[in-house]
Amino acid sequence: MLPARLTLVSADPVSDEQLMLRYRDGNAAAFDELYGRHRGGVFRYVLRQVGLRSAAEEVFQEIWMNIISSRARYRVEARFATFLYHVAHNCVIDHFRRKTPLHLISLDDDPEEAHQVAGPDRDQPERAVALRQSAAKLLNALALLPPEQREVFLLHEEGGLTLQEIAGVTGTGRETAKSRLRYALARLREGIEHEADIA
Amino acid sequence: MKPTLPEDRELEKMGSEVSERYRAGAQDEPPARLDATIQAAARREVEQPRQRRNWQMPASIAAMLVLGVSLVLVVRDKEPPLPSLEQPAADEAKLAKSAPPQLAMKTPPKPRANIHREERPSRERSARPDREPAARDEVGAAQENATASGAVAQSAPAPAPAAPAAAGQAKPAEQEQTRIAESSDSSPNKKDKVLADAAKESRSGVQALRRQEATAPTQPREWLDEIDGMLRDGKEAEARRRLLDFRQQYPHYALPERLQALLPPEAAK
Repeated sequence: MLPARLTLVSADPVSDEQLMLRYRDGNAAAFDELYGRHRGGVFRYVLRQVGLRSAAEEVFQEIWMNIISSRARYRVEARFATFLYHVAHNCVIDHFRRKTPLHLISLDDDPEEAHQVAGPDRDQPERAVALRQSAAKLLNALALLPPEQREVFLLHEEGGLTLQEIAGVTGTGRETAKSRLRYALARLREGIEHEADIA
Repeated sequence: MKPTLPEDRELEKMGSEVSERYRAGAQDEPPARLDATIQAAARREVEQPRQRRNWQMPASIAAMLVLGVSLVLVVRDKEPPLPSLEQPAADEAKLAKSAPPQLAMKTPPKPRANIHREERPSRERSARPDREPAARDEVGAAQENATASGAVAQSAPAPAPAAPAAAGQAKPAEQEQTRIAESSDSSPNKKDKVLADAAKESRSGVQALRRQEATAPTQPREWLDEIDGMLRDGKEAEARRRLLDFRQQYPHYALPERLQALLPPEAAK
């Protein structure tokens, strides 16, 4: 399956906003399509922050239930992705308020989860192993980032949001969002290179 | 997002490098059961309002109708009778029952102003000092008649003064104005006294007239008996006047021959 960002830029004639409007007007199939476009990105956005898969599923369901219940009030005031990740951001914050200890995924501690993150590539097994290892390093580095920088990176990668949109979702200024993203990218690069040096 | 600033371009370059590695491992998906749960919830949300609308509209219309009808019924049952319309009608019906036939016939169609005009001559008459004892006699006779209910026909004195009273209806209202004008020439004290007396006597005159009306014969037969009584007592002129009144009131009533002889030829028809 393609990552969410690639799905968003696909040449689909119907925009997310139009699909949500159709769903608001009673078209359940429009929701299915909209959900299919964003399910992966939102799930990973939650999983990378919450850490535990079970908790991520719980928060993920809560996000979509909020979207469903806000159907009647939906108005196109921004991109649907911005609206969706705004809801996701709030749900994640609520989750952390409910459950204070933050358990981050450590791929070294949980080899099973590492397998889930990087699926097998049957066509190029050596390349797949290399990518998996690289991704595991990146995810380790991501898990070690401060929460604010991690969230900005995830909103950029999974949601495909612009700096302005990220600033809107996180309640900060554009420059703050940009600064956080720059630090996040720098640390992730450092983490990958550091792991490579150790190897 | 196309970066325009150099630092934005640098950020984009860093991002693309990291992003490529990140995407290679970003394969986590929600489980299928979670997908099914969420999509089912989305469908339920779409279908439920439609089902709600199906029964809500008729139910609300039915509730409105029930409330409206019951409210109308309650208000209609508890509504008091309108005093301005029903009370005067009842009073007039009562008056018509107790009044003599000529009044019962004349009173209802006449406006209030006419009734006052009719009362005025009797008031005027009773206001004169020389006629005051007569008025008192009338009142006394009327009271006696009211107590002796069965003896109306035999006791002629009561109806007899009623005739001048009825005849007095024809007197013009100017008489009273003339009297007041005459009294205006005199001193203020005298004028006040005259006005006070007139008011007092007019009240008593009206009361007397009402009593007479209450005791006057209500049936043609009684009326004719009363006229017979007058003839027996030798009051022929009075009897003729009452007979004329009777004829005006009952133009088609078949009179006995002895009474027809009393009437002028044109009235005897």
